[in-house]
Amino acid sequence: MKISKSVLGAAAVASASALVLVGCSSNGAETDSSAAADGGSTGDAIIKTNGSEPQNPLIPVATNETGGGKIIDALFAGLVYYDATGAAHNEVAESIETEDSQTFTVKLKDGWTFTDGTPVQAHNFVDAWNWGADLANSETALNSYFFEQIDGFSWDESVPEMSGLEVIDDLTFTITLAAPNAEFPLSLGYSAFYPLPDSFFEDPDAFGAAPVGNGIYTLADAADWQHDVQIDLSINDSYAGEREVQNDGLSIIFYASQDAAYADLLANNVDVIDGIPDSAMASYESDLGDRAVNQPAAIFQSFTIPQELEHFSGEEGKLRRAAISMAINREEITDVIFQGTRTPASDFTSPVIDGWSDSLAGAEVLEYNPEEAAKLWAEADEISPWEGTFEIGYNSDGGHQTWVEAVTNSIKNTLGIDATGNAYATFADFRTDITNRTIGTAFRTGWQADYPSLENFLGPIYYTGAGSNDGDYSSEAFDTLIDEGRTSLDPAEAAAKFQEAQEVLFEDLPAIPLWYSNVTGGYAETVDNVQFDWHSVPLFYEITKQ
Amino acid sequence: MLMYVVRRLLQAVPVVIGTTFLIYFMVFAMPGDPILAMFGDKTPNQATYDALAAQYHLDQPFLVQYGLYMKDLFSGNLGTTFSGQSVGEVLARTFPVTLKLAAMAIALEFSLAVILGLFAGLRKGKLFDNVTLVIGLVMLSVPIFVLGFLAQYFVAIKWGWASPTVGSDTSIANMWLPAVVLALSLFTTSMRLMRGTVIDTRSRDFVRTAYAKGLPGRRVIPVHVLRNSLIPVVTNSAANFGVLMVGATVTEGIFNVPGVGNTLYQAIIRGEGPTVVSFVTVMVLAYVVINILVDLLYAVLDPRIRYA
Amino acid sequence: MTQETTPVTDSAEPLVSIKDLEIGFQTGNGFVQAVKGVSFDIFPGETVAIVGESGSGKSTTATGIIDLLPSNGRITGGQVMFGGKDLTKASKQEIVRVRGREIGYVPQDPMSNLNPVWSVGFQVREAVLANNMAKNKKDADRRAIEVLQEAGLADAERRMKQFPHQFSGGMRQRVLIGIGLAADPKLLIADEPTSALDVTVQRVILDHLESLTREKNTALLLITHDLGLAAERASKVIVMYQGKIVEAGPSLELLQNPQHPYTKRLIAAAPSLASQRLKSSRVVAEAPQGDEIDLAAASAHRHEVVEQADHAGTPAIEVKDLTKVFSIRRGSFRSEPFTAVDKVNFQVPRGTTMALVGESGSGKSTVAKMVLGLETATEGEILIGGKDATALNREEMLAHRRRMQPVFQDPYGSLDPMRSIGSIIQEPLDVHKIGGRKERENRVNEVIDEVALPRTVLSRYPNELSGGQRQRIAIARALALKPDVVILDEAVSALDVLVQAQILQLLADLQEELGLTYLFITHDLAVVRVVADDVAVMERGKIVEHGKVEDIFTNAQTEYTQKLLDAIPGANIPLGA
Repeated sequence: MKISKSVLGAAAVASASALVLVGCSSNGAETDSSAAADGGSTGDAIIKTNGSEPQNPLIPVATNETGGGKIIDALFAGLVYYDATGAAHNEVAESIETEDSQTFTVKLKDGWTFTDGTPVQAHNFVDAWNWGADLANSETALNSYFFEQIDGFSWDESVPEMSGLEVIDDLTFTITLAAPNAEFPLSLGYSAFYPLPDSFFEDPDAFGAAPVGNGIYTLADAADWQHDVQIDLSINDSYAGEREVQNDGLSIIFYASQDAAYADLLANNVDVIDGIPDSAMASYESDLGDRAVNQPAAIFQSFTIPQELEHFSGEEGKLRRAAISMAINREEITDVIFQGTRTPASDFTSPVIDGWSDSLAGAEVLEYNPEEAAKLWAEADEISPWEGTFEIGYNSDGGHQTWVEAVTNSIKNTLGIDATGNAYATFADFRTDITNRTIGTAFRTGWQADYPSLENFLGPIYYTGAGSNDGDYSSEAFDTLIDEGRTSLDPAEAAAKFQEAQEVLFEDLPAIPLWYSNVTGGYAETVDNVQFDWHSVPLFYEITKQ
Repeated sequence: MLMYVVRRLLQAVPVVIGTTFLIYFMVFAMPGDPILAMFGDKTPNQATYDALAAQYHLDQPFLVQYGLYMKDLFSGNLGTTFSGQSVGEVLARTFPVTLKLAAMAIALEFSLAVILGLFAGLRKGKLFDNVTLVIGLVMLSVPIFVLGFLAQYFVAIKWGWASPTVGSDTSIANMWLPAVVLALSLFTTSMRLMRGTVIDTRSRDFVRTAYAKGLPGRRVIPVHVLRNSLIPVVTNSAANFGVLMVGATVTEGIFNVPGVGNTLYQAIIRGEGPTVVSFVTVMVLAYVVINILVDLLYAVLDPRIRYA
Repeated sequence: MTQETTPVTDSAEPLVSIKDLEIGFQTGNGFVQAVKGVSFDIFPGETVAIVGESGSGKSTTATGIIDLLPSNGRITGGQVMFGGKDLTKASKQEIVRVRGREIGYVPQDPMSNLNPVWSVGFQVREAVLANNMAKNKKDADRRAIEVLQEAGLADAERRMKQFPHQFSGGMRQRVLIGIGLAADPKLLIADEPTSALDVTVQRVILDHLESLTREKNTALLLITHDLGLAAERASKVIVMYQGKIVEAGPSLELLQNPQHPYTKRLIAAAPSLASQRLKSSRVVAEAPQGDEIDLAAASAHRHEVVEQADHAGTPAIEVKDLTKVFSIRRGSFRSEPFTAVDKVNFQVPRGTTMALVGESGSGKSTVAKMVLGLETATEGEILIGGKDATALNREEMLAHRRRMQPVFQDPYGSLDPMRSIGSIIQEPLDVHKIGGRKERENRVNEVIDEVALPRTVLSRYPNELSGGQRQRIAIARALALKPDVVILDEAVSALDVLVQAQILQLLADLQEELGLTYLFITHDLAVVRVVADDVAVMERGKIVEHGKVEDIFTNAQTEYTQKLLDAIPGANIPLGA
């Protein structure tokens, strides 16, 4: 008895230590690989930045969130790339030509290769897009809707090869759209359109864990991706594009919280971050001085009032929507609550987009005008008296509570009605009710452009029956103008059409524009030459490090 | 003794089954469609949606989902996260980290409690006792995230004695700051317990006998007083260990420790039923095992305890 | 087993000389002086006994010699001269050196005086090594085994690795004695070394202690509350009362010719001595006068009265083939039956006292519990006043309980600390719904008068009373319902000698007055002599001998009974008139 007791005691201690040692030994492996990764391919100027674990395999057409997106954009190069201002430049493409804005001929540059040595050819694009569009792959290809416009695309049945894509020769292929759209080439820089090497088609799953690309950076070793911890990208020596890399590699650290990332930034433990936590909002500019970043981004915030919401349709609806819009003091809210990290909206798109205007007809409805608002509301009451509470739905896990309360208070005080927020615990919950059209109140909406085009903010949201038309808005006038803009061959004319379309929106106000988000971020004393691009991500390849 | 261990493990089985069922149920009962959440502000189209739903069995009724999950569990397959990783792999990666952090924190907590408690008990009423009481109370009442942020700001950022985040380097040398924060937030109760027990043990008869034998204080205190005062503190520390195992989520978030707490939190937010349940199941098992080990440890610490 | 131990002195110099020693304690109520100027000498090889009741300061004096006082105790005056030095002024190191090596200590309670988490061998080795009796571990091991063997432990080598809880009380005490003597000290202080042990074990241990000290010529300072024991074992007896020495002298002389009134009272109240005197039947039976204590006389008187009374009729208690089997769990799924009480039979005529005697584990308490209905009998019948208690349902049982009431051993545990004395005594009346409020109050007053306590005590709380007073309350509570039978389970074992004597006298009075029947459970044969009419001796669940008290004491039939009788301390001291 006694003997076994001491043996057992020893066993207890031993197993406890063993558990700890397991922890130690697994860590040992980690330290080793991270040490290897830190060394990089050559040189030590590795840029460290923040990110989040990709939610999907690292396949371009599967990536619809920023965690994976940041990585994909570093690993691949597409037909065009966007510079800091959002202007498109040819990258792999030599030229993209069209006569009618419906059929496009794409010629590729010679000499591009993937990191496995295979050449980048026309079929790599065509096969990749076909795969992404095919309904059979829709579980993985979450961004398949990007190929919607291509002729032959189908939502109902599996189409392995769309009729609208045709390979002419190794460096040439054509794209035929189902309907003309002059904006289409602009979207070709988006990640869904990246090429894929032949090895992908043999084993898409394996590819998702160890992608092979043609971009500025590469994932040299599958082990460089430490899940939930960080991913280390090395320089791709076979990159053939014109963007010059000024550093030796990119380390994306998956932070659990923005606070941790900020703390690391202050200690110069991370080089650049693209988000400032709320807790540091008031102090980051003084903490970082001119290393603080605060500039507009292609992110638009609004709240949608569904068309069928009582008291908000027809003439009465127009009056009420305008009244509500004018009852919100956007300047005050962006100043006080957001510390100047938001810019009050003057239209439905974003200032970073080419062709944006802040003086559209009807834009006065976005200015704070309490008397006018009250007047319009009273007029609406004459048509049908208001009763009940005006609510704005939001998800409380996204940090929206403060501004929703500010907005509803503003409405309440100006119009003298009951207005509050309608909180949902999680984003998932929130989106479910919106999608099922059971939400029953107004709800916040936001849009981040996939590619820098005005139309991208308008068509997918307000066109009749569009994928993200959560408010079920439908206007023939609007639809017509959008169509016209899309088919126009002249970019200036197209832009004018889109602005006209916005004017329609100003009258109908299917959603009430609030503000444009700024990208806030910062960089450490260790790096230089940090610029954030049009969609709020730093241009990593330009960053230099001592 | 062996029978005792077997019996305890058998008792653990209904605990695990019950817990997994409860957790699965709770995750299932959470409102919100996890698939829609995967798409952010954009709405997926129906085909995509259906395919994903089928893949994760989210289109089946609850009991079917649970049944499928348990079947997988018993064949060793803990499921897949929405991002395609095997839950087993995720666990294998995060669990040792949290275990290590917890072990470090408890080792520190226990040592602090025993040493400070011993001297506070020996010098009852004097300066040392009062000072440790005040410090202990402060540590106990300050919320852990305040402690964490302060430690991070001063120790790591301002003075540069430690890295502000842990990240990929989970070596002991790199995790000492969060371990210290955790230990500081927990040690007070163990310390006061130690102090009280020491005061009580000191006045026991066998301590007097020890002195009567001609042993000097420097032998009586460690061999007789300290040794006999350990049991309550061991219980308390073990309970704390269990708490930490379940993931010191806040601390892991502040210091970016790639452990269980974070991953579990993300999985809950995304409504990933299988991941949450698998994690919790493993945690429950770990907790049960730790408790059994501690109970066995008693038998070492106190020979009067027999497990027939 | 000697009478006189002539001190084997090789010099006329005392080993220890204590002069005007004063010791006090810092308590919640201020500073309390426990020892108020005590002076005595101990010569080499001499055995000295200090006798006193609790609170007399005897233990404090003993522990004060080597500064083993609790943390709130202090020596406030006087000196303790040992080996030419004053121990009260010695430095910490000096005291540590003296302890163990020169002056050994054997504490009272073997349960709590050994560290439960270290093996016995470890603890003995500690004593050996600390006092430089061995040079290295192997040597220390050897010496430790020797010590245990000398202490009388068979199989010492194997026992070394065992833990204290695996030893019986007697064995533990031997270990403690061994530890005390491990370094061959010049003086051994033994503080009530056998009070916690069974009577037969006591004798053996004391014999052993005596032989060891004689062998090594160790002086022995024996602290005890039992005058008989002191006289038997020591050559010099010191009597302490309330912190002072009231009388001291050679033991036989003290016993035969006490000078101080307190000493006289002690002698008159000691059951062992009383039992001696009764045996010699030189006692004049007379009822106690007022405060005076003469246990022998009171006991003889009671016995006479009982003898003359008529005990015909159904016996108050009758027990037939009473058996109790417990199920003890051994291992995970097995359990063994354990027979605690094995076919016990006896009868107690009305108005008499029956003593059930046995050592620990004999089953006597279990019998008492079954009679009281606190345990269910596995087999057999229990008839109280002719009614079979085992065949009653709950309601009948409640009514049945009125006829028998218990008084338990621990005066501190049997009274609810949260209730006033009045409500404690009234509780049985409330439970059985006797009379109305007024009647109950009257009864309580009556009964408190009977136990000779003032009525003011009714509004006080148990923690304000002494042990003896509390036991009186317990008796009063037992009497409240006017029972026929009172079952006293070691009711006086925890009391001081004088108080014990008072309670025994009270019980005798009450029996005479109210015609009560007592079932008296005890381990102390001396008490039996003064208290009982009939005796049943139990050993391991069975009654081994049964008869009238005089017969048992003068003519024991079984060896076991004889052993018990021999174990009474002071059994062989010739006493004065």
